[in-house]
Amino acid sequence: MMRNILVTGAAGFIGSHLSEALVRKGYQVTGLDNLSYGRIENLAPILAHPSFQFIQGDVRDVDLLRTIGRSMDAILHLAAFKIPRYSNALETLNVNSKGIENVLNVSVASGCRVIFASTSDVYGKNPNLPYSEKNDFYMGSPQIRRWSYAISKILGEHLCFLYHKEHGVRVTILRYFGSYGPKQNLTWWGGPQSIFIDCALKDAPMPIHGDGLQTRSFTYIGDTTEGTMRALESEDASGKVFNIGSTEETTILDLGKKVWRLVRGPEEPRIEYIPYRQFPGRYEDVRRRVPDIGLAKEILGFSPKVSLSEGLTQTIEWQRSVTTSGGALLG
Amino acid sequence: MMKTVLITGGAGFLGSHLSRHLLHKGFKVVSVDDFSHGDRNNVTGLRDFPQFSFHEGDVLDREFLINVSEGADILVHFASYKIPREGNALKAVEVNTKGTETVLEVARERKIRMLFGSTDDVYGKNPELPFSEESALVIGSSKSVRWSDAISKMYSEQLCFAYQDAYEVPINILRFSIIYGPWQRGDWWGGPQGVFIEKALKKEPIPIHGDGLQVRNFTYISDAVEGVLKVIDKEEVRGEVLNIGSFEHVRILDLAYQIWHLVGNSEKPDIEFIDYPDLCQDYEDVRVRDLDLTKARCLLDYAPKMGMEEGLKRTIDWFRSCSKR
Repeated sequence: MMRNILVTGAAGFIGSHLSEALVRKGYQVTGLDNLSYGRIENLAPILAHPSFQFIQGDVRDVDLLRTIGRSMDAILHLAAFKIPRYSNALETLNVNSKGIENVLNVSVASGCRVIFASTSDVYGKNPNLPYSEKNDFYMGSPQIRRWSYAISKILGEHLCFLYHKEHGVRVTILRYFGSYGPKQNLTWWGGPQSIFIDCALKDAPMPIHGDGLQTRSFTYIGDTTEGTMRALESEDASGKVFNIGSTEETTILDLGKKVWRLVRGPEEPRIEYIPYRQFPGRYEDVRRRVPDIGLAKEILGFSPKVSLSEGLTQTIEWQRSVTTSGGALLG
Repeated sequence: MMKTVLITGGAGFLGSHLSRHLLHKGFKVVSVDDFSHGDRNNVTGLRDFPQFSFHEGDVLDREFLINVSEGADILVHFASYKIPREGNALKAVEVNTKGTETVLEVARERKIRMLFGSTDDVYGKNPELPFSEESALVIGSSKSVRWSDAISKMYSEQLCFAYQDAYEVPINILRFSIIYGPWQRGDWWGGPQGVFIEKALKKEPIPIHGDGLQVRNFTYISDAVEGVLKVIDKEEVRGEVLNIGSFEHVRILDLAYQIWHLVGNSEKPDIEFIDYPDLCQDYEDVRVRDLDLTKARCLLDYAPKMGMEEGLKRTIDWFRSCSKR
């Protein structure tokens, strides 16, 4: 009987939603976060809940994790650095590889399950769409820093499977496709929809990288959480990888226009195109990204329910409430 | 004042050849190896050089590396595990990723250059040939241990650039194709030549994985060493990724036949085809691997010289001389 769950990166966007969902379902939840990018406010609804405990600490801290992990039935490992241009590639590589390694070692000792949050970015530039879990990973030159994130996650996936094979760790890998929703980070870290909503609320031009015709499949946080819960509670998820995402493909430009319309009505959206060459260093974008979620549907019974328009409407409502109630939350 | 070069994996095939060439050119060489795969015989002859020193130790041992790197001007990092199908893949990933990190830490602390020995295996299944340094790195499923080696090298390459960005450690990444020649190992760790030559000398069936129609780029050891020497000599190329290979791309089956005949066997060889599923679970082979050497030619005047036949003859002679001993 699964009861005690450790969520790393609990104060982050996905981590806080998951922690809350777990507490609501009756689990005993321990949330770990070093608050480097996570915000304690994200956990406000459950901070005082008797089934929730928050620990501020680093996921790379071997002794800390060993102590907490001893009594856990499962670890949801979400703590990660994602955009190298936000800190640096070194931190991204370091946190992402050592975090999962530490989690896996704890699991060897305690026998708990591990759910590893990976990313759609591992498919990289692969031109064959939609991406099934069997698709190849297309990475670019190491001189392009953006690949450090995907490569650190691929290494994490390998560590998961190697621990699974060599130590019998029961591990499940989830490749998330761009989650958004209330509590999302309000910088680029939170994704383009976050920036677009902010611009539309302020009647400022929305910055679009490149030609805006690159596509993504944005997944509403409720669906991401749902997929993760299903993986956690499934008897058949061990040793497997699942895409967790929406199959509603949209161009970044259409996303911007949609956000603008939902916030400001029929007026002409204000858009500012930003060429990639203005990025520091070299940059490579991924043109299209859509998941094949057949496996998650078959094994986990997962299917995303919230449409982009519906999800954006809720996200805009939330973002309006936090940005008008004062800038303190933005810090 | 000649420079001091520290080589990790110094008792390995490439590391020991590089040591010898550097010593002949007057460099000081500090060789480091834990003999997990390196061979003591590879460094025996080098001990005659007064400018040579050897330290047995683990590349994951930071303190050890800091101590032995005193006075070093450049770190050449060749110590690594490969072909996880032959053993503990987790260990291989750990040694490869953490080894690189430790060596980069030492380079950072000592404020010296670092050369990282990577592999053309990082280009993986990329169907666009030949591979230039800008080519995409295409690897298969994380479930397949076959890719663990490549991802550990890709991670290490990223780490090199991350250290260069964050701490101004001057780095170079050298992506080698399969290197062969005298002193190479006779098992799969050393590549197909050693295995084929051993079998051909004994007139035993030659084992080939899959259908033998895979194509590989092979570099004779002196050409690989020449590439490294040029990078050591030319500090201006820091921050560059460089393919170091040859113009010889050969089908594995043809290589087996060529070796069989060069050894002097007249009849046709027996080929023992080994299915991948027998080899390890989820094994995926790359059909064709070939390198574009334009960048190394432009930046370093790198031009591999040794032809396949001559290279194989010299390698066979060496294997023969060993078996007589």
